[in-house]
Amino acid sequence: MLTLILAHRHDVHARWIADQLRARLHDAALIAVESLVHGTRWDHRLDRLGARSGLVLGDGRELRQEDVLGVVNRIALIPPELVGRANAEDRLYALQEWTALFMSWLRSIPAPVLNRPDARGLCGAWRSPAEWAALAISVGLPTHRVTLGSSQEMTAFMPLPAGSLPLASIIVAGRGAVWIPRSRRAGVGPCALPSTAPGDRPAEESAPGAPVDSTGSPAAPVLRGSLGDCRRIAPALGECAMKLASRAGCELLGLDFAVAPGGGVVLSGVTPMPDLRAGGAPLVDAIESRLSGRGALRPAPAAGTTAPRARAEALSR
Amino acid sequence: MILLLGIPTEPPLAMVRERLDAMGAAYTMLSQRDALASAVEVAIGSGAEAAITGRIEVDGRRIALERCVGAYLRPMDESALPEVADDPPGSPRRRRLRAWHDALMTWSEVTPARIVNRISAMGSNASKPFQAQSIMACGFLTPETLVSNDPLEVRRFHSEHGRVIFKSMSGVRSIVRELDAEDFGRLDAIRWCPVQFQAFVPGENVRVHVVGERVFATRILSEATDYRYAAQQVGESALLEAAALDAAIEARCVELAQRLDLPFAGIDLKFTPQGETYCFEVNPSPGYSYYEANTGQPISLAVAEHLAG
Repeated sequence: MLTLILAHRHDVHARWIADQLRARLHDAALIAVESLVHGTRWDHRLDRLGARSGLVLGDGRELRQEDVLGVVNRIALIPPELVGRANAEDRLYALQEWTALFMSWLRSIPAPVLNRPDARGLCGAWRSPAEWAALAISVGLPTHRVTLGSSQEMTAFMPLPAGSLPLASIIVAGRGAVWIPRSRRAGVGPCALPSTAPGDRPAEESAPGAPVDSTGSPAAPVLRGSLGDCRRIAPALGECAMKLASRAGCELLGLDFAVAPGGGVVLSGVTPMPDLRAGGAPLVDAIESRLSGRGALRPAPAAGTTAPRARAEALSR
Repeated sequence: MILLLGIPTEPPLAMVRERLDAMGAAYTMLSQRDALASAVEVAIGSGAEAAITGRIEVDGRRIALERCVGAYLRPMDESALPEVADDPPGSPRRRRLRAWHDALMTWSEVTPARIVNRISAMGSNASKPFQAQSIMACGFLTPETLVSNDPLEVRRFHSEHGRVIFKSMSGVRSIVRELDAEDFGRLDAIRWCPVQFQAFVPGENVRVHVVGERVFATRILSEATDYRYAAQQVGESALLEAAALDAAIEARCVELAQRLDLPFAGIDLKFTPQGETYCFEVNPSPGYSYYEANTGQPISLAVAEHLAG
């Protein structure tokens, strides 16, 4: 079974995760969006049996969806330069058509896909910082106040109190969450976060005011933690991060946290396309576990069969 | 308070406004043409500030967004508004107009108010085969579809099905056309951009408008491949009449709209002579006025009542 890493040609995170999975004897193929748009023969069908696809890459390699164990999808968009030198109107049309095809193809793959496309984005449900903040508050994550308006252009970043410093990141992958220190006080090296034990949660404050959730669900109590609580707050933040990923429909989600000048921890960013390399081996464990459904090493191939690593390398040429 | 956003004279928006007037419901029309004279602020806070708050200043009035129970969004592309036609790209007025829309659209995504419809939910229509997978999950048939950039495969598909139509996969509006001999001569052009082909499905077209849990079915009588362009394709306009649906089909339409998170949806069905029900697509921002004007079905009233709660 093949693990696909789909990405833009120069995505170092995609190359890293492909190498890591191969080192664990996964049959991992790194396929660039460029090669999927140029030279690939597409056959994507919908009928009474459902949706299915057969692709033949430019060098003749076949990609059948029944051979796919799982997908790490890091294609955020179809690069405009890939659709040739047609006039602007035709280029825009072609881009939209290619995007529509990728959305349907990635949705139709029966194996796990991190992340599946969504109406909001090709590799997961992208949101504006304000929307992430609202969703984060609904699961109890501490955020700074977000404002926007007609005299204030929307930015790509979550606002932070002046003087805030990076603390740590959490990457959620399937049912796992990895704590990644960004400051010495947050620990050393990435580690998998355990589930929070009862009675081990930091203080919570009930959030007054209207529910901060477009579904009308009541907002969760907001976590209150400071840098001094780091050991205790990390698992609780991880639990909230898992809830956020679940509500956002993103099985792979990166969250950044900062420390405000008063010492409080605050969410500083969210992305469906996180910095994978920072997650190290614990993140590979989590991704492997989600993709394979078991997280164990693949058994060595029997004599006479093609070694997965050799096949993967051939596929990734 | 209900917000109406768009161009006030556009028929779908104007008709809902008339119904709200008749109901005596409180509403505010946010005309995009007046956006540069209006101001919007939205705030999202946690802890002691945990709430979605904001205000709109329009026509000298200040409206608290917390008081809004519903909004009907029919915005046109704000960059094409006549008010900024002479402004260069990136001008302060264009940026302010963009920010005004961004703030309102963001508010509509996070507010618990009834929104018809959220922009995020409309995105499923950006890929028809993507949306078709939701359609199939609700038990509807979808036409046999091939998306390919391989002319040989298209020829095989055509041989297999006899009559084949083609149309855009994305949200770009295209006229549905039948693949003919002339098209075969230019099939090589699909190599640079895959095209969606579908087996032609004979039968009766029915447009179903779902508003909340209310269903309005309209039968379309036309010989055209794309009835929206019937006058061009077959020389006479389509005839529309109200229709009654089987309760199970109605329930399936409501389920589909809910699955797509669309309180208001326009669902295109086709009933074949063999008794099968195909669903072609779901329009997330239906221009229902054409159907209401031809049948008298109270779709705008249903939308107004849904917004009012």
